[in-house]
Amino acid sequence: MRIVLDLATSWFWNRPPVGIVRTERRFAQFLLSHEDVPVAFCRYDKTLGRHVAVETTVVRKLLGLDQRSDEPAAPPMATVTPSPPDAPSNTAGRAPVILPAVPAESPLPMSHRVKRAIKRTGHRMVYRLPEPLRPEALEVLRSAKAFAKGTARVTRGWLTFRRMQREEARRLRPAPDLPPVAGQAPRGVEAFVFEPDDVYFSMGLDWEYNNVEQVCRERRRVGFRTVLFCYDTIPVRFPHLMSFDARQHFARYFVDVAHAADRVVAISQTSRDDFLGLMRETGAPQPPVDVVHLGTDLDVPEAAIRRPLASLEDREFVLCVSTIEARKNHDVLYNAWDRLAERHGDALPPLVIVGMVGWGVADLLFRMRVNPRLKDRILILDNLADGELAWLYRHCLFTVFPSLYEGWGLPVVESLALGKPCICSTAPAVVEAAQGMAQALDPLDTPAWVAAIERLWSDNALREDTALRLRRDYRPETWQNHGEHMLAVAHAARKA
Amino acid sequence: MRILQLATYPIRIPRHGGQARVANIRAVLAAAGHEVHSLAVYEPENYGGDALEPHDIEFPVDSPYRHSQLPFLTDYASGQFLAGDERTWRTFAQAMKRVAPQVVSLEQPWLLPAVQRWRREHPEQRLAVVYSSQNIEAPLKRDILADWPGAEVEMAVRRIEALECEAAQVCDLSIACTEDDAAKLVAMGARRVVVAGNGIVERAIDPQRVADWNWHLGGRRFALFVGSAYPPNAEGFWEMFAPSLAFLAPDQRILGVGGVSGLVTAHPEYKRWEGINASRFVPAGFQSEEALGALLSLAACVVLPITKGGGSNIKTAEAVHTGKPVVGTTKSFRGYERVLALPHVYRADEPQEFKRLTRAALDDALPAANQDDRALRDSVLWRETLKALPAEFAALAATPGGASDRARLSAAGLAS
Repeated sequence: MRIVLDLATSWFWNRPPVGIVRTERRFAQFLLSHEDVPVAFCRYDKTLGRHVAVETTVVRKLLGLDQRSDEPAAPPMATVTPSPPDAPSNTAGRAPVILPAVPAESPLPMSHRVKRAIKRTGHRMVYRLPEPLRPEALEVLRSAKAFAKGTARVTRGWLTFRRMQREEARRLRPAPDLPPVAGQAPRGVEAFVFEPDDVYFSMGLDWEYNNVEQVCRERRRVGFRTVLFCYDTIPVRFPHLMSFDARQHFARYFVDVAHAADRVVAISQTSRDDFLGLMRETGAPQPPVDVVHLGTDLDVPEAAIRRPLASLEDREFVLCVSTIEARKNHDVLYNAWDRLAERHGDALPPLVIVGMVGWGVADLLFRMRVNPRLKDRILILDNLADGELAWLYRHCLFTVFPSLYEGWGLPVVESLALGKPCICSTAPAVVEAAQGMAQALDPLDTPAWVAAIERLWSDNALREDTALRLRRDYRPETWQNHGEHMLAVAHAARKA
Repeated sequence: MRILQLATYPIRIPRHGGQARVANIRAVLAAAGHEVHSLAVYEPENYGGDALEPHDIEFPVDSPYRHSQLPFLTDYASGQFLAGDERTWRTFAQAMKRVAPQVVSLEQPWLLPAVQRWRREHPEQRLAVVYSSQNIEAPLKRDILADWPGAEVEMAVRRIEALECEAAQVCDLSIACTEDDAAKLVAMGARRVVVAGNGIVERAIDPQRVADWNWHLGGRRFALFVGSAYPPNAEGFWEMFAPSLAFLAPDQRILGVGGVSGLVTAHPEYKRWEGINASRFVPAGFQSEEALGALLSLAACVVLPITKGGGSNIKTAEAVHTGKPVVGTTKSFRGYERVLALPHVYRADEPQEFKRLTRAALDDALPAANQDDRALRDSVLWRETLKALPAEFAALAATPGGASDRARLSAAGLAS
């Protein structure tokens, strides 16, 4: 049995890794560390319409394994918002940048680097404008992006159409001595050859970077086994918690996964139930679904653990690790801090939010920025290195995670694994992740959040007792275990 | 013998099933030496140009006869218009005089009022009349008009029932598509009934067209679904395939040909999981006969999710004759019950089983036809299904106007 891992997502990803990218890279790292497991890497190439090989040396570079261990794969940069990225900040002497710089030996294609540079320049220009003009300018930027994307798509479509026309004309000509052209990999790109005893894994952003129909066809043709992933079905089940209505797109994707996979891996029992429920609802087949929890260990060397902001030194704070978007429900934290600031004034510890600014939060960010009672009470950090995140976990009083719905609750697990109490929402996957070791509250019950935060902040003994209990009883999943579970799934798929 | 066919659509360029049937009856009768003319009272919004023949009569859109409170009744109104509109009547009478038919073959009952008026006004003329039914129409109209006010629908359906009964009773010969329809015509009082099922012509397959379609579909295996823009066709499709086409693998398709493909994609069941359905249903719309031949040749199987309607489905015959696996409902095989014995023909009335069989056919898990069944497969060709008609028409000529004397049933068993 050979494990084949599709690394298309990591290949094209040009930002600090989010959960899915991290999962893909961690499994790749696990496979590389197991020399007894035959392994190969590939990625789907949209232009060629097929999978191509990715050499192990390239994979190591992609994973940052050939760098010093305390050096992250992409240089981390911190920003402090709601202040504009280019405004003077209180970071430890670093120039705030929205996006990380490109590594010197970046495996990213040139087109991605150009896109990133354009995006960065655009954002910088917007933030140079007077503040009232920024929302409209951002809108213009988005429209321009949509226009450019649309134009590129149409152009690509037209070129593909012309190419197909030419190929068809060539095919129809009676010239049997012409070499085949369609699907042939260009020089330097080696087409990946699947073997019947392969177990193919794809665990990235497959709806964006893979072609499940192609996987299905290859699987039928060659006879290998497939293991595909379901992180969550939120776009279909909770479209109102998304930035756009992607129900139809994702419904099709999940149905395709159900057909193409010998086994599906769900990251929680909640995701498994949601996935199978969706398959029942649409009339799709129901493949075996294994639940494999994600690893939690940040695996940061002590030397790499560092403070992201000088102002946080010797200061109590509460931590929330989560992208800032409507589904994550930061509103309840804003309202709670507003109420607590009213009650406790300067004594109230600040809330440090670590996460990228997403959609549907413009009003919330505005309120955070202009509310005088919350001045310096809510800090937002983005693009942190693992060492900086570890520092925040280590030094916070406790963490909060009020998300409305999740496929898993990684920040909750990280917090509990590092011995920090957590107040989380009653979203099913979050409760599942917490294993009963976190205080779960209705995410819409603001008074309950106010009371719980106030109590945990003011009661040192409660925090210490909880921390003690967590260190003693909480058993988080490690990436090593995650990898072992995945191998077990591969064996099960092989037997199917 | 001179025969005049009366229909509510021209048949020079047959596209839908009814046209194909009338055109093939004409061809079979002509091949037997009869002189066959056709006259259609046609809707100008649907037909025109090359499709028309010299005797065809336009039923104008703004005619007062078309101002019905209910839709889908233009066919019924055609007969009222032909018999009731004096100017049109004169045109019809001229055609009757020019052709001087010995037999009028009434395709469906709609134009019976004109025939009856002609008989009243020309009692001296010995004219045999054939009622060539294609369906039992009244129940179909009731189904189609199910969403309209009950009282008005009921009144319209009763009028159609009366018209059908009258046609069965006054005509010298009734032709039914199926045994079931024949029994109903007998029950209505038909004197002589002959069953002549629907059939098909043998197609010549153009390999280049097949290659083009295969390229267009990316080499994907597909099930072919052919149907007209008749709402029950789409209802049947979704009755069998709901809640979505998610049972198909990502590289499998159902290809819809004909007006039904637009109805399938406009259906609420399609919209509910549009992302899934759009990835698996190809609405090919209207296609030429040549293209249809190529698609029949290329399809992995043919599906016939017919859950409503009577008569027999010409597409069933097409499907069976291809030799590809055919998955259909009991209703879809009406008139072709004999082909159910063929090993490549599968019947399923339960949606789950229908989907399972469709999927199995697309997975290449169902056998296709073998050469031993060739004769049975060929029994669906028009030349076979209509072979009794020339003799039946000749018999009418031998005893013109003698219908009342022949109050016996050839299908005696059906009369009991």
